[in-house]
Amino acid sequence: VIVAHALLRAASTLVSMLLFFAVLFPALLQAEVKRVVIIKLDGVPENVLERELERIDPLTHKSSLPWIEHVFAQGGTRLDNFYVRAISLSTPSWSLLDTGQHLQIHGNAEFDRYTYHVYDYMNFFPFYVGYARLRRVDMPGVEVLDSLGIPLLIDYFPYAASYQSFQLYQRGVRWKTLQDALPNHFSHSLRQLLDEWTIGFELGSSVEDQTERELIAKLSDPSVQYLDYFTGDFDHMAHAASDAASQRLALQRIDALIGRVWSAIESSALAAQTVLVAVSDHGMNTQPGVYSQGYNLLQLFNSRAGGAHHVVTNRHPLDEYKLSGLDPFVSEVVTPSDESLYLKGQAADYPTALLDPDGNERASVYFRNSDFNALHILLLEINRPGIDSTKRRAAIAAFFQIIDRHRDEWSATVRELSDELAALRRAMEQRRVDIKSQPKKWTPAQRDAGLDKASRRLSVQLDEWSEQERNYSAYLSALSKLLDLEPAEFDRRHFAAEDLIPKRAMGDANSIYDLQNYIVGPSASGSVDFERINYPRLLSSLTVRNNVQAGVASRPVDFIAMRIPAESRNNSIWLYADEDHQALISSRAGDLRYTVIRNLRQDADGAIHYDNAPLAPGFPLRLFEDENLVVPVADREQWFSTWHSELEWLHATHQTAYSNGIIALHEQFLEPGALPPVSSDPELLGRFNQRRRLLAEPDFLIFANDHWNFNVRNFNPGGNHGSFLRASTHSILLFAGGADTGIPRHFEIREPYDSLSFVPTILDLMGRHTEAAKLPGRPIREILPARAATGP
Amino acid sequence: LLESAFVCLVLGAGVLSRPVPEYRSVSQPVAGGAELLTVFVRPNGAAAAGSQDLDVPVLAVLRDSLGDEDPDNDRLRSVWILTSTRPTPWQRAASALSFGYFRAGSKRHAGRVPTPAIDMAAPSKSVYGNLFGDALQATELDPLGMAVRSTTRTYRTNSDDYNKLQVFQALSNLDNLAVDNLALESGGQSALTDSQLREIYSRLSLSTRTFGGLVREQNLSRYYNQETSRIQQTRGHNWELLRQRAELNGLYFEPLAAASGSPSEALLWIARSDLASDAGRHFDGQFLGIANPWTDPLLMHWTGYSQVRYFDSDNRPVSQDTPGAHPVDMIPLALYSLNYPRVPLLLADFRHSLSPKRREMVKQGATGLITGVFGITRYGNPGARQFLAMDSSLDPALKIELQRHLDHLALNPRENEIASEATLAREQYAALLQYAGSHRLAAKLDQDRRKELESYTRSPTFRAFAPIGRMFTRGPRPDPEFDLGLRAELDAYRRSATHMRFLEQVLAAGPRPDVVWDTDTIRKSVEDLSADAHAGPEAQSLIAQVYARTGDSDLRSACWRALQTFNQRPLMPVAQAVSGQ
Repeated sequence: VIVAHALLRAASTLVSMLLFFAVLFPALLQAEVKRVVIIKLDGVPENVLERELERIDPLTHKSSLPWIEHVFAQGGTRLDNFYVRAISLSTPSWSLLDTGQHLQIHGNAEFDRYTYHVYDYMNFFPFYVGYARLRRVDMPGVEVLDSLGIPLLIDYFPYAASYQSFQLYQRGVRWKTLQDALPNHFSHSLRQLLDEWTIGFELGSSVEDQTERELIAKLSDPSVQYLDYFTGDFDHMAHAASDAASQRLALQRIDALIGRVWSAIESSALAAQTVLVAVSDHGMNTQPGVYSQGYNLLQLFNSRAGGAHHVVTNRHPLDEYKLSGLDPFVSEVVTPSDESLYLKGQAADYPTALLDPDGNERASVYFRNSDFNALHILLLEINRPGIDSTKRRAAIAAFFQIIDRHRDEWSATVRELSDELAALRRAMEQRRVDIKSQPKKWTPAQRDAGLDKASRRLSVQLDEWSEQERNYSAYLSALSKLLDLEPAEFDRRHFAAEDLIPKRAMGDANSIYDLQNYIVGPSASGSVDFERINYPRLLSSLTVRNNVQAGVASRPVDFIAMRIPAESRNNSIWLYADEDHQALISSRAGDLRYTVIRNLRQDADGAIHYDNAPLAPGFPLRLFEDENLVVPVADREQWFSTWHSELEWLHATHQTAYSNGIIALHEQFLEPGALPPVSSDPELLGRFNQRRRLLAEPDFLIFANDHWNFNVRNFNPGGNHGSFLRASTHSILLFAGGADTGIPRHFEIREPYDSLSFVPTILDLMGRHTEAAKLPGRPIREILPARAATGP
Repeated sequence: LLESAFVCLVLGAGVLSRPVPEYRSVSQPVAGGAELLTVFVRPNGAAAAGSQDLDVPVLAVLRDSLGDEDPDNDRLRSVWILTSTRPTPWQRAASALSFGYFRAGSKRHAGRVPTPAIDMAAPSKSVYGNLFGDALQATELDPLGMAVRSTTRTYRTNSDDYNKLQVFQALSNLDNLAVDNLALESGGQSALTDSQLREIYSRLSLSTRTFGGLVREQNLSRYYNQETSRIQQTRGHNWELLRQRAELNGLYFEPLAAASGSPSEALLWIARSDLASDAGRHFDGQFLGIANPWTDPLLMHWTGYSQVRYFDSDNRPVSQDTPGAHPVDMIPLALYSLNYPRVPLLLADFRHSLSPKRREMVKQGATGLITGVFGITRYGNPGARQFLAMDSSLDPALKIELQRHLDHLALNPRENEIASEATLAREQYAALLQYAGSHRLAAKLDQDRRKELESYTRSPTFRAFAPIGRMFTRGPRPDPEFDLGLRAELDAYRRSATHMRFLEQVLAAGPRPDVVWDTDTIRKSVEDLSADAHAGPEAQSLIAQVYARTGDSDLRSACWRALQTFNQRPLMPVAQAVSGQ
């Protein structure tokens, strides 16, 4: 029987292969793609799309999404298992989809620890105004990627041969689109306008409508090779409402859009050589009948129990109820703590926590370096009126002990950063010369080629460099002052905290030791000791009083994640659910391993200790107990004890509750490598940019439990994303193409892929194999002509 | 209170057992070839008892079916809100008093047929009527002095507010009926189809807006989707806001779901034991509108309503016999409506009965100055009234307490007591049934049909002057033979209109009709239109567009045949129809 089964399986595989080669392969070999149209759908989850595709509308007797069914399900190829490679959050996720490169942008907002610069990636308004004032040319995310030399997919095409809609990674602004949007919106009949006035104008859609008009018009131009259209409609709706009807409406608008675009493609000259792609950046953890519950981390960190921090966010909390919430330029909001133990009234100068809760199922937390807090408290103690000399001397000694402990590290920072800033100054000089040589006026042809924008980019970058040079120099100056300080100087003069502790700076990242013993204030005893908080323990112990939904746990925090510094343990990520349920994700030459542990702690000297734990349910990512883990239960212990490639992990875990969490966490915390010793200016500038990325990393990420979120800006009861829960990471990727493109029809790909596969697949489809091969992602071979024969 | 207690015993039999009230629609044939469709609310207690006698009729719709079973020629006509009553003389008088923010007694019996809330066949009538009323007020009544101006304006405002309150209550019922209809999607029967329900909902809702009656039929579906989605978003937003505020302030949050739909009200409680242990705790009252409970001596010595609830170790509400359940003595603080935009609306403050009313009075006074800013505040509690009057299963004593507080909230002299509404609705329904069985409704139907036929066959000028002519001729006489002919003619026109509307809808849905709609249904409409002698160039043009845009060969053939049929008539050549779509 076994032999018969084996033979049968072999025969069936052979038949499948023959069919593939006989039917698909010849078509793929002849494939020719001259144009790609990408519909970018923010936050459309695979499971909701599937639900609506399968639903038959009782009125039309067709699928609820008839065009997606017609174009992609029947006439194209669907990927059943397409995942976000990092946290399921728009800015990081679109950066992967738009570049095909490893993750560089790790949140919707990031903060620079030294300069307090806010990378506010999702605020369009300052960008538009800055663009109008000739001070900006690209969205902030594009600027960061440009500084690292990472091109967008659109950059592979000539400027004149591409059409980009309004989106997160946007280059330039087409005023004409905005200019034409409203007049076109109001160009309906008087009767229709009266109806709209009564029902409610949907002005928000006017720009999208205009973009669609322009995109459809561009389709008639055969020289245009790349077009995209971005819509965030579904994401907005699903955050607000979990009911199927509301979400269906949002999807049906997208469906109708796809119908119109597809019809326009079909009637265009390049119909046969055009590929239409629909892709979403992440899924959405939404379930009809369940409200997503918010937990306010801002209030926690403000409170005495949470450390009484002055907390900075990039938006006002509950902004819809505040006049200041109307400020469209806001990128930095300080929420002071009334209970601060040593910084009362100094919230503007000395915030001690930076919080990015945007993304909702996770929050990034940056605390001021715990030793900066200690120095600050000690300085207050040293300057306390009436302090006796013994205590003062002890405080001064403790102050210098801390400085000495950091002396090597800080000296290296001062040395290296000074070199980098010197190189930056030289680059600025050169840039000024370059700018002078640029034309002052541009011909229409030059504008069409995007040369005016390229020129403006030089000026914008120079402005940014100037700001960076100023801010980093200020931080270096404060750090140098601390390093140069001698104990005896305290006898000669009075040092206020403001003289020595850099304002609006977080200092270096906290170690695990710091976070387990974080200094939040002076000790009640008044001696040279501090009040401390163990943050991992505090966060995991949070519970709420009101638990009115059966399917929602009483604990808002699922686990926290942070990188263990390379010098302590090779490229490991520590996941903490509670003291007894922790895990390490380690990487080694591309392979990954997941180990369950407990009681991880770090000593003050940096040594890390932990106990190995037996595999059991309840550890972070809950892999062991997951029935969808594609490893037989009996083999699991053995399987987890060994290293596996990324692909093996993806195959084994993608259908589990946390899908590709292991790989995504690895991508999120990808070790950028030590900052190398370099000497030439380009290398120094490269290291500077690499350093700035490192400085934008948070101390740790907090992941929310299922149906919990950390939104503080307003309320997101409909659903959220940001975690590794499969509902949030499972995205959509659909292809359809004209007769010559070779895109298979009525074809479902079950092989799992992730965000990194997107760009190389598009490039390969368009015959740009050399450029695709340089990217780290695995192209989707099932739809590609060149690699079909050779496999991945 | 005794009366309320009785209603509670009847309606709220299943204490703490989260009832699911049943909404159903029933069709009854009436004279003249029409149907009376009635929406009933079946309270949970009645469901348990298996009796339909206790069902409360809340809404009735007249569907003119021309006496057949074919839905293609049906037209919806009058809509009656059965809880809406004509005012008593005292209510009328009190309605004219400025600042008369009190209930002027409650109607005990209502034996007359209620006035229709809307005529679905002519929704624009109410727009012109209202505009005429506004003009009359501004040009004739206002100049007569302050006394006349103030009394007439107050009377009209109260009357308008009362009607709106009733409409919102009806919408709440339709919303719940829609949920129950959805449950029937996979099987079962409902007298009101989904599209009719959407139409009634939209028209009723739009009737509260100045030009709502002028909104064209093709935009109703969009309006319905927009509105229902907005309600879901508002409820979710307020649910979460209130839960978070409860959490922040150490209170207990209890959402109340009236039907199988989403929660529309919520209660806040405080634990008696917490009052002792957390006395003086910080209280952030933003969005809650109630006084600090942690420093309130009234609560420290609370003798009002309280309830012992049981919670498990995760603080989830459980039954008393659950292992590990611990009891908590809870004091209710406030009831909120979750339907109000942006923030939950305080409906009842258990410590200060008049507090919500005071807020409302201030707002209502201010509304007079800045009309429109506060939106529907004045009618913010129809959902709660509905919840309590119809289908709550709260602890009866708590419900009495809530009804008392909601009755205190009454600002409109025309409002009836919550407890009376079920009785009044039943009595009005009985009167309506009597009217439906009489010749008066048949005559009204006949009159409406003639007008409708004229809208198809006569010019607008004729129709404008026809009512004057009818005044002299006293209208057409009943003639059974003529009536049969009229029905047949109307049937043809209605079918034709239905098919054309359908084809317009199909063409508006996307560039390829066959992709978005079942081709058999489209083909049937095309064939029916081509067979219809009344179908004109517009129908021909629609068919030509379907022909040009479809990719389905069968449908194209059907369109081609239809166009050929049209070609044989002296209308428009096929080629011209196709090219000039």
